[in-house]
Amino acid sequence: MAEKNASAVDGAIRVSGMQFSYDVQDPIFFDFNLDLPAGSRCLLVGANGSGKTTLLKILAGKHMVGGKNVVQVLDRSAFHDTELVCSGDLSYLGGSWSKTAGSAGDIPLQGDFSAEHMIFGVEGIDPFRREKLIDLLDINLQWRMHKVSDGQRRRVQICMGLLHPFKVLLLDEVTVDLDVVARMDLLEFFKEECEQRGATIVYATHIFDGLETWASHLAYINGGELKLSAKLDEIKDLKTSPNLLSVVEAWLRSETKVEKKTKKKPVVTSPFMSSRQMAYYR
Amino acid sequence: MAEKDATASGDDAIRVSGMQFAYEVEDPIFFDFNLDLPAGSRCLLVGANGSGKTTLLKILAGKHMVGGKNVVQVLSRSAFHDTQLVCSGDLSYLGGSWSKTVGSAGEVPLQGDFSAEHMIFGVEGTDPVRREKLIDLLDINLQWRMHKVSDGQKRRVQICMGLLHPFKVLLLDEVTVDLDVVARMDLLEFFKEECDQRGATIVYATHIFDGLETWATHLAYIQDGELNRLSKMTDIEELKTSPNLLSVVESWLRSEIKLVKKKKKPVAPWKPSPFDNSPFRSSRHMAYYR
Repeated sequence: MAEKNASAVDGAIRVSGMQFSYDVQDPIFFDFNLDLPAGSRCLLVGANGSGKTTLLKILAGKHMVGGKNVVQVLDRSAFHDTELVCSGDLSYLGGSWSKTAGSAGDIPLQGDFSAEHMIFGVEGIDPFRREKLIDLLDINLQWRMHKVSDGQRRRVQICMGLLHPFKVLLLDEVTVDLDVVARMDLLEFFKEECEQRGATIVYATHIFDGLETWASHLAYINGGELKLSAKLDEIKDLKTSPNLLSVVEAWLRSETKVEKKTKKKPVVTSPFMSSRQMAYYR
Repeated sequence: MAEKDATASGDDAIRVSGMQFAYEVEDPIFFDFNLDLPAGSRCLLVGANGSGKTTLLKILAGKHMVGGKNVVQVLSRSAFHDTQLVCSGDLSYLGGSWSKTVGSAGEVPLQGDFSAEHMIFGVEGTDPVRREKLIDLLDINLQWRMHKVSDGQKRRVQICMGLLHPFKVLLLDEVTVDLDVVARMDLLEFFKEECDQRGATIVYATHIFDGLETWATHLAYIQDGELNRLSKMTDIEELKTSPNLLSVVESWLRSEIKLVKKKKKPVAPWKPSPFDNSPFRSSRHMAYYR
């Protein structure tokens, strides 16, 4: 009980000594730690393949990592406590709506539903909030979901993911198809949610335009390690550089130099080497 | 001949004269559209969603026929009619995803089991140094199986293949969305070199303006199929008072939205029609199963 009280600091997200890998020999995360207070807006930055998407999926409870105390969201285990996701307290937006069909790879979902059917089908929603989100994302309720473009499908996905008043929101590059006004309005909506309701947001992105004044924290990941986790106003590099883009670019470039020294090139002679896929046809 | 000489005057790489285009007759996307770009320029194409940027790029890439041979000219040749422009690689268009429409299944990604190496090295007559440079630039693993990798990785291979030929005119439609900061800045730097050294011309439609203030030479702002503004970056007065390009474009689009909202007629509250009661109403797609 004493330990439980001690750990009940107002951290909305806490990761302690996490280890995770898809292959046993090559761990993605090793002894990974992260702490975020409630009401924060954290930018998650890093190169392609540094583990940002994997981290967000772990925080969203999609992967099991160790015991119940390793990954805690709102003081509950992200993976084990399924009520976190079912109640809408923990919301994850990322990836596309698709499924894997046998031998056909990923294809979009094929059901003939309208956007209205999908959005109004979410139960127990405040109508005012729903209307606000529909206007914000410029959604045409008559869209047929299997016919529209990926960008339009993404907007409906974002809208549905935001209908419940979330407490923790995890975003993985969600604004790529929005134009400037829609993007800034969405970011402003997120800021309001944090300041008025005390929600917590983790946003993984490569687009830093206009985020210098939006984010409150920044977490920089490199090769599965948390290189930097700090409040945005405490980052010294930002005071000398004109914008966030050049700061992150400098970090990633110094990372690339180190990486090239350690890189080994495997020798492969044939472009038609055997793979799991080809084994199917033997 | 005299007219031809007159037309060929000036070093314009792209010229559009009085273009009209519509998917539906009653609602033209472009009406009397004009655009002129000199060789060696890097033009940012900005506008709201649905303003016609992608359609314009496809027209410039010769994918749609619009009027006669003189309406859309790229390198003083008709973009649509002169197919040698695209076959030779002089005119290159990067945008959209690699997919095809399968009967009754909608769009599915291409399914052939090819490696990235097979696709990239399969492009004939390309300079090996340039190829190696692009592979490093885009951080491509030649062992990727194209039907298994993510959309972002497919996009990189697509970009690489589209750039292998030394293009003279390059049309880009939001190509950097999946690249991280270093890859994106390196790619933009590569484009700048191509323009400075070889005199290539680039039109780049995007919503991501980070770091582009110093990259672009021209800016074209499209609103509802009209070219509201085309000027050199140095001639834009708002950029001198605003901190960055994002806030300038944002203010343009917001004032545009105000106009749209005034014109917008109050829509009657939506009533379910007898034919639309069901989310499973008939469609061309469903007709397949009757």
